[in-house]
Amino acid sequence: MRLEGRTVLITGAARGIGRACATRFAAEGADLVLLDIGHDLPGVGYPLGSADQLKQTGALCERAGAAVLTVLADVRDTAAVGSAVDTALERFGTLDVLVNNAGIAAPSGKAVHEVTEDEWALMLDIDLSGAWRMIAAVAPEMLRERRGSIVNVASTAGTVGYRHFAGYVAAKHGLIGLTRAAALDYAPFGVRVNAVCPGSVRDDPHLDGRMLSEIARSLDVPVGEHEQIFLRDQPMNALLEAADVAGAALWLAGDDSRQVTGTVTAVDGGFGAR
Amino acid sequence: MNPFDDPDGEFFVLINDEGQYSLWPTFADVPAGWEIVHDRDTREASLAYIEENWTDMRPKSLIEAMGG
Amino acid sequence: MTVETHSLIVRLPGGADRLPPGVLCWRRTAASPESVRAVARREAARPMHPAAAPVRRVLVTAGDVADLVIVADRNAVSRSRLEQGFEQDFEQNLDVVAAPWAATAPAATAVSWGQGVPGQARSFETVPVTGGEREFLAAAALVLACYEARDRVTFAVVPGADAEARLVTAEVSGRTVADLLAPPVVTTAGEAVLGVVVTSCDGPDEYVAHHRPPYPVTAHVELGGATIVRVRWSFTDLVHPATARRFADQVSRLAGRLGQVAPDLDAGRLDLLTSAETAEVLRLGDGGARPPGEQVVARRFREIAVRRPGAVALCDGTEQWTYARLDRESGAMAAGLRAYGVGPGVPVGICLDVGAALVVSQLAVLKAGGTYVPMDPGHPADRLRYLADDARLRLVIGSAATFPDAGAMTVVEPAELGREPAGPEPPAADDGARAAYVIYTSGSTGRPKGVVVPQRNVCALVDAVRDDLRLGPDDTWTLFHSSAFDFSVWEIWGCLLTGGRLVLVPYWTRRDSDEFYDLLVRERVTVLNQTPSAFAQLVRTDERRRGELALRLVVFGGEALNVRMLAPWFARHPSATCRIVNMFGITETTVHVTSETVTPSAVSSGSRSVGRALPGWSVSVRDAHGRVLPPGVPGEIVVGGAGVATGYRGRPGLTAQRFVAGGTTAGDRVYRSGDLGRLHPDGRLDHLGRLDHQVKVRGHRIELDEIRSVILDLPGVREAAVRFRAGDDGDGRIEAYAVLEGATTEQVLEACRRILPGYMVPSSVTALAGLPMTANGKVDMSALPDPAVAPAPAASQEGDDALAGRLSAIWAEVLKADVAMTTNFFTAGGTSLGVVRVLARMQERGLPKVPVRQFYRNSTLAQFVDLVRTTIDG
Repeated sequence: MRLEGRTVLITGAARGIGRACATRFAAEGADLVLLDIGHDLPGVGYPLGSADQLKQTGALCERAGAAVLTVLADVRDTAAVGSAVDTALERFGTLDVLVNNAGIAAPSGKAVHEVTEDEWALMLDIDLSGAWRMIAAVAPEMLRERRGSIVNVASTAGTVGYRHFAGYVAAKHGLIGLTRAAALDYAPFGVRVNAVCPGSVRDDPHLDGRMLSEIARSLDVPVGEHEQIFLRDQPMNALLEAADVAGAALWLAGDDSRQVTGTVTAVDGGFGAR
Repeated sequence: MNPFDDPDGEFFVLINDEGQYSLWPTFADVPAGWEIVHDRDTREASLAYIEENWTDMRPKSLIEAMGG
Repeated sequence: MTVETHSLIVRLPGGADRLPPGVLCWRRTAASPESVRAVARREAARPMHPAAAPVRRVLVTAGDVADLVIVADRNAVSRSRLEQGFEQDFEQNLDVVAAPWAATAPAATAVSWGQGVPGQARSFETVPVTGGEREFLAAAALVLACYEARDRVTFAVVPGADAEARLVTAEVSGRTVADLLAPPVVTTAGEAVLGVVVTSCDGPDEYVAHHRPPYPVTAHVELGGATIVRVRWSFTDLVHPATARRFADQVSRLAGRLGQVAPDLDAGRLDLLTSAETAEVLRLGDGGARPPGEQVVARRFREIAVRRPGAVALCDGTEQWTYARLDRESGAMAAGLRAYGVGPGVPVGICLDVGAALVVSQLAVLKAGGTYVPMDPGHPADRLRYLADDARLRLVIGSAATFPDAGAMTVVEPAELGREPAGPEPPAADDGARAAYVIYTSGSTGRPKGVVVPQRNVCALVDAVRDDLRLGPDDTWTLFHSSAFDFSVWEIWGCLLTGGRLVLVPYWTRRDSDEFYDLLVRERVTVLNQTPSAFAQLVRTDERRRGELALRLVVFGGEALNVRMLAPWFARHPSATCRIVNMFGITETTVHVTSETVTPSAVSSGSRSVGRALPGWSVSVRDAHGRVLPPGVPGEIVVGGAGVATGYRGRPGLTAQRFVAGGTTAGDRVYRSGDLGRLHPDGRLDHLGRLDHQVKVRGHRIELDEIRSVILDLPGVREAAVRFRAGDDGDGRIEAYAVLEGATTEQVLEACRRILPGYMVPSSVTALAGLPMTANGKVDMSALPDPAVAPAPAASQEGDDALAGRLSAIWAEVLKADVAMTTNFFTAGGTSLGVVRVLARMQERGLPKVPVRQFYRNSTLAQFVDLVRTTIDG
């Protein structure tokens, strides 16, 4: 019970890594605030997490004994983000951990000069600025209590480049920069900020995952064969499970990483070591 | 004020197997291995008794080992 | 900024359906009907965000069981309003609430006895207490008074859920049980370590009056009618978890007792600890079994001499003694002593300065079966005569020319004793119980008293620490301290009974910090024993000289350690390479009692811990009735075990009142130290000072009453008082005051110099018309005026050249007094530490370096100025 008595806010909690983190943290004694957009976006070419999926994540957490608050909010909307945090504070009185997991993998698949103004802005607004807005909303409470841990879910695309993926890569690189800067801002107050960089995470149907196939689509990798193809780049000969990312996030969220801040933890099966 | 130092207190004088004396306030239980050799009296009188009777301050076992 | 919350959990009869429609609340499902209350309690304990105040409702359901949790800002919503928790518009209704508790009964921010661990707060319930509210308050007052070591205590009481918090005081000394059960007296001044909140509860609803502990110790007492149903305790992290548990249990138990005993019983008779708790606390302070081993010093020494005859035992300047040589020479001297009639139990005085002869003599006396009585050749003749007489000495090893004439006593030079042919050595007697030495310490009745210490105590001391400190043949020690100071017993036998090499530090080297530092480097000393005030000098020298020291262990003894002075030392010498150990000890319990390794973190925390009892020793802290006190509570330190001495030579009455019955084995004795201390929950001891008028000056133990007695003894003195003004670094000034009837202050000072050792001579004697008194008829020490400073003779000297001016300024700074060219440094109150300070300041200000011994030879200001001038010119 490594998060006993802690209150955790997770964005993009409807499915995938977000759901994996939520259920793992609930099993470790945390209470959850689960945030997701809950509907599709016109600029994004694939279905996003739904309200039903968010509810399902909430139910799984409650079954594990957690108190749960679910909130539909778009991380591009400062007012909605603020309202979500206010509601969380009303319900729980405090916030101990923030997991910035909300993110889109498309629109992508084009060379840099081919990306449109809107596509560039959308990608950055959600994948980078969304995290920034969430941090800005929770930081005052964490600083007041002089305690807190923020985990930003970046990607291997935050440390290396990928072809035809400039917006995502730039946003994830930026997210790592934001992690380091925020870590320095908040270190004197006991609030820690770290990033996790997942590699190729298998889409688990139990988690309603679909991110990997969308990334494959963006990188011109034939969907259906994409798992085999991505596997070739994995020194450990296996794709990652969302639970692996949740495990790393758990460590960063809890007291075992008390003196860890401003770091980047790769959960990539050895991908980055080559 | 420590009871041992209380000039108005009431005391026993205790002795152990080694012939060593101890002042002892009457309200406290006598510890194991000690017996009362002078019944309740003033502090002054108790100390006078000790001064008079404890002439060889070596432990009895040492006196015996040294041949008396 | 933090919202203080209280909460009410209401079991809704008939389940969630009975909740009126339109009531806004959060909802939560529990896993089962049985777990609903547990979940509800967790929800009740959640904090409230200021923006979300003043109320939050959570409905917890499972099956047809429903609990409604209402949490509200205690300073905005009263308890009675919580009952009406279904209403929506709390903001609009004007609720009459009591003032915040902190406003009328502020909380203390520190707990002197708490010994808390940051981050480790505790909350728990105690079993229902027999007795009612009055018994609980009385019990809480008694326990608090014990922990705070006070006769009157102040704490907070909140007599009802919506009542105002009030400060009350309770007097506990000289009271009967009936007195204590009377309501405590309300007061307005002060702050509370303890707060007692009393509320009534009924039925299955649960009311919690506070979620964040409002006081360092808070007891929420729930009454059902007149009886106590439950007590919920909260301790902040200012109180150690083990102490918290004990405190709560003690209050519970005492509250029960108060309801059962006769009302006219003296409340002071009630025991705080049960016999099981007492046994547990005694176990905490017990250092463990004494390690087994040889108990006769000479036999111990022989074992080592036989094993390593060629190893160096003593080093005196350029001359060395191997273990074989030391064994041989001490054997020869022992034969010589026997010829003088020294045998089992015979006391022999040894009046020698630090040197090889001293060590050889001590060993020789022990081999002859005798008891050595160390005497410092620097002490006044009167004192040496007194010691010789009190110890019934027939023989003194010393200098016949300088030892004072003392009746039918022989003084023999060490060299004379070695002349006897050694002959076969009779087997060393079996008995570790035999006295090894008698060391005299300051006596409060006016004359010093001799502490008789058996051989086995010395062996036990070495055994107790040898493994932990890894003492062995690779070590080089120093003998720095006078043999009349029992720290030297440790330096000599700690070294020689572990096969080490002992470097004898010459007289002048001991007084010159630079020379001593050179010696430490040159001789590659590994084990250094020092008083903290002497070491402080060494730290400064080390900073300046930055030499290559081989030190791996520094042991402090003799006086309290101010850990902060170690900061610059740790900067240069990591504690992993040079271990610092602080040891608390008393002559009456054989040099050391406890030991603590001092680490850099102790410097920042300012710890007063002196560590745990050594294996074979035990410590406990007792109250004024001799009862064992629990950790955290200050009291007298009582020492038992392998170090307890035989007693005071020739003082049966004094012995019987200080060495008293007690200890773990039947028939054992313990020694009442007169030192104030307290235990930690982990068995370490904090030393807090003295209970009487004993002080430590540069490690020397001084009974101020001894000095006072000496002054009072003089004809022409009617009254006297002696006060100690602590200075920096364990130094200080002894200031004497006298009401004179014929004597002069010079005569008083002269007499002190004649009778007392140098470190006990007052820095000043001030004549008064009368001594200021307190209302109790005691001398009011704080009302004594500043000591009279001898008026500086008319400054008509030639000394208005720049050099004289600068030197005179330095002297004045160090002596803290006006000086003139005729001022003698030492009669003006200067000490050996003062000499070092003067020389250090001279160096800092660019004046030349002057050897310490030259200072002593030119100790008036005029002479000193000439000396310095010659040094500059020459």
